[in-house]
Amino acid sequence: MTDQPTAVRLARSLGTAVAASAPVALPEGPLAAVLVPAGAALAAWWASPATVRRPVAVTFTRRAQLVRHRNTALAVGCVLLSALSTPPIWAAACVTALLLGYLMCVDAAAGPAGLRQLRSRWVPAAAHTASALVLLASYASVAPSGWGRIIAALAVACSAAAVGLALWSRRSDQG
Amino acid sequence: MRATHRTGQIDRSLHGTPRDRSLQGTPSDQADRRSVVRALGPAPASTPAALPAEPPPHWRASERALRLATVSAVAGALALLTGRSWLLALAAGPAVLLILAAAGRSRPARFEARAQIGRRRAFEDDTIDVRIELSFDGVVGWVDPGVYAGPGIELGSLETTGTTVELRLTARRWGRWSLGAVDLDVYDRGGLTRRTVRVDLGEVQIFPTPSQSSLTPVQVRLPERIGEHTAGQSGEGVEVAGVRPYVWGERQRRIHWPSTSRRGTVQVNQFVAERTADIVVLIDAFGDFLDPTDGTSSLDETLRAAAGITRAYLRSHDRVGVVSVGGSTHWVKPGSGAAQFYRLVESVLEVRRDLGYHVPDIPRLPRPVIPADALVYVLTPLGDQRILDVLHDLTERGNPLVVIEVPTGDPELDPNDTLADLALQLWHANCEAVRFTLRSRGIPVLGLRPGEGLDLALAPLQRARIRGRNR
Repeated sequence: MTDQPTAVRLARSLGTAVAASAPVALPEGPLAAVLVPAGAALAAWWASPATVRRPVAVTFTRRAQLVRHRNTALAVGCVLLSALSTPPIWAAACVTALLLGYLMCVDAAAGPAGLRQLRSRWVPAAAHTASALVLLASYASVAPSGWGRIIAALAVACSAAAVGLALWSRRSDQG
Repeated sequence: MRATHRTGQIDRSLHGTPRDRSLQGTPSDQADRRSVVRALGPAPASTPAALPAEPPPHWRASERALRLATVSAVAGALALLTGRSWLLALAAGPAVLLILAAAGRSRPARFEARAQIGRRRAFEDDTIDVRIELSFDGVVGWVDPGVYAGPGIELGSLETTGTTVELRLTARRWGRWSLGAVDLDVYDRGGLTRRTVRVDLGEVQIFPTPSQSSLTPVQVRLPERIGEHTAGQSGEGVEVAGVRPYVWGERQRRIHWPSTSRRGTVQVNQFVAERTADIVVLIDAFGDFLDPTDGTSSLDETLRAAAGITRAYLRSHDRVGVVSVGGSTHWVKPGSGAAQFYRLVESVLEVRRDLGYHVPDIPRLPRPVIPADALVYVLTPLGDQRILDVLHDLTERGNPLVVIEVPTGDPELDPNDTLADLALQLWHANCEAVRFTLRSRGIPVLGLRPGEGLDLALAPLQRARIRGRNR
């Protein structure tokens, strides 16, 4: 069974792995092949350990803010690196699974709520299934048309609205 | 969706196994240390964490919610901007986690926190137990306490059991301190929002730990009150001073038969009187000198020695008073009994508050402060010229005086300063001159030494009774 210290240890491995694999499909060249993954892995080695301190800001310098939100910065950085290329589907699946696993490990290390989600049978399965479905749909061959991006934007907007409604229903409950 | 609960409860499913609970604070040392480090936050342990601004009185997004939402939003936006649809897969997972964690309508709207402080008065290094109970009207996921201990207060252990937080605080320095405050971060079931409830722990009085002392040297002239010290004149004590001829009416059991048979007339034992003593402890609070080698505060040592002397004499049922001279003059008239000890140590707690750069000239001490013939212990580092004026005033009154010099350590020398050694020698010579001046006036000057007991410093006074100036 996964516990909090295990999640803390796993977070560094997963974070480094996802950072190293994010730029996997960059164009050929020594810079893309070695330097970018190595640099990303090094940065991830520092940033990936889960933040277990209380979320209290002592100073508001940029460096302090970066240290405090380094897990989020790492995840966003990996997304940015991934956005530079379109990898083969297996590489995209690896990046997606690793990023999701990293986020869940960081959540589990931060508190009991994330730990409960990680231990749950169906929450990780639901998240991975949703990602897999979206990934498969994105790689499905469709006839190119000008409507594709508009439909995708609508889908994203609907998803964002669903998330917002789920959160808003709780917030409105409090008044 | 869960219905709103009338009485608050914590989601037990979030604390499923004993191993989980250990992370919130159970007797295991490792978990306890971890919970203490987490509660104290990122501030260095040597300095107390500054109390942050008052927390907002509403729910706000947690770090977890911000992280998941940011990753999801950035991935979705990049997918739309770059046209790489596979990035939507990176957004889908965090979005699902957010939705699943957000299910439920159970967040509390009202909170109430009650703190029970074990004791408001303690001595240095005593522990103070604090128990905080949080009540609310809904369901929360977990309670994450943050402790902002006041100055001189250390957090020893912390245990969170459900909605109850138990702290063990240790007071390191005497004084009147704020215990600090505790911020209780309350998370909802999904850990997506949090709300902070601040609990002010109020003030405590920390008394200086008395130095160990048992010697109670007394002056020559004792007041006419029955006590435990043998006086110079004859009286009704238990110590035999000699024999004298029998006077009609005296008790026969006092007849000293060996002398009677030797002298041929009836002789009786003669006893010395037993009297109580009036003691006044005068505290020099003109300044606080920190020893450069170990950072020991001269004022701290002064107060501990004063408390030790006070306790030793009160145990002998003497009357003890305290006078502190510094920013302002405080005094407690001599009295006896256990309650007097607490009155005295409580009175000196104001001393540190009065410390400052601007110190007015001290007028003559009021007459009632120091009774006639009272033995006055002056605890001073001899670092301020004005204490010599006070000593001069006391000498003029004729009170027997004992000066106990509190060590301050040698000042640090600048290795590049060629005159530093000479300055240090001059400083030593000046100190020795002050001591010589006092001794030449008949005032014994004793020195406290670091690591040595108070009895060792007072031992020279046992040779003879302390004399004051003849009036």
